[in-house]
Amino acid sequence: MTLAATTDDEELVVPIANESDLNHARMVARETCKLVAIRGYQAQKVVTTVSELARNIARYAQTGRVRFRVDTSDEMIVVIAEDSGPGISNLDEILAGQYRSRTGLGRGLLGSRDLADVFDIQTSPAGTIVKIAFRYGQRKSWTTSTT
Amino acid sequence: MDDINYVTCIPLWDCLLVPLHGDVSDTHADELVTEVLERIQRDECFGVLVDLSGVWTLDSHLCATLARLSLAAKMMGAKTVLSGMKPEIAMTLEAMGIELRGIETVATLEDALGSMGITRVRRSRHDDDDLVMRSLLGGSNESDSGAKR
Ligand SMILES: Nc1ncnc2c1ncn2[C@@H]1O[C@H](COP(=O)(O)OP(=O)(O)O)[C@@H](O)[C@H]1O
Ligand SMILES: [Mg+2]
Repeated sequence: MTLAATTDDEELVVPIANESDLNHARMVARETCKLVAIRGYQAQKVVTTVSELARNIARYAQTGRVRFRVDTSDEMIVVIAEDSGPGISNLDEILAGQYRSRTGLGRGLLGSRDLADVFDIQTSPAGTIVKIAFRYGQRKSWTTSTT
Repeated sequence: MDDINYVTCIPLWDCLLVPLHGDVSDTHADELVTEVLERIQRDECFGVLVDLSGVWTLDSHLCATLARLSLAAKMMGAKTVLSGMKPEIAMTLEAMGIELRGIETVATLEDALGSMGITRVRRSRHDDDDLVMRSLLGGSNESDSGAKR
């Protein structure tokens, strides 16, 4: 399989129109992790977050896209999920953990915020942009072996 | 892309073994629910063993689908047990605050079988030797089926 996405500079863009596009988004997320040699829990966090954000676009905004970029100077995987859907009017309630979803488990946004090293969301009636980033550089931990 | 994602349901006595693998699409997950519920009814299964060893990613939607499957199966009299979740997946779900409420989750397929009341009984060496001796010493006609394992 190829990373069939529109390449824009060093950015990979995966258009999201329906739930079958999620497989593609997750695949690009996995490939991006491979590119920076992270796996296990580190990679799982990236792929799961991408899956959550892409699903929200497919489900609540109909169309949008997920952009992937590797920031080599900060050693970060940067993911931007953006759409021109109706926006999230009760964002504060959701982020405060007081929202009860009828469509899902209601842990997509909160869970992504908890998994990512950087989480930023902007929403308006014109659409939603979620920006997340994951560090991939060698952490100062007792783990010594890297591949 | 979904061609390889057919649903596999393996009958195992009165249980169904359902191994999931790779990138489980929404379509695949929905097909799985339908197929498993149909099989429970048709084959009168009492247990559903969903093995997640080969699953790459579990997001909140797939968790919700598995919970839905488990609940529906329960209403049909079958118990669902999940096994083989990779440590990194368990860690991710835990970090996201997702609980698989109401579904029994165990580490290995052996544990899942155990939870269904299926355990391995190993015939002792001694019994095996007896069988071999008996077949050698010419209980000829019955020995074939007797020593089979
Ligand atoms: N991109 C989006 N556009 C519009 N609404 C959204 C978007 N993403 C999330 N939402 C709203 O925010 C709520 C919470 O989303 P999430 O945390 O992913 O939980 P869930 O999808 O399980 O409901 C959703 O129920 C939906 O109403
Ligand atoms: Mg969601």
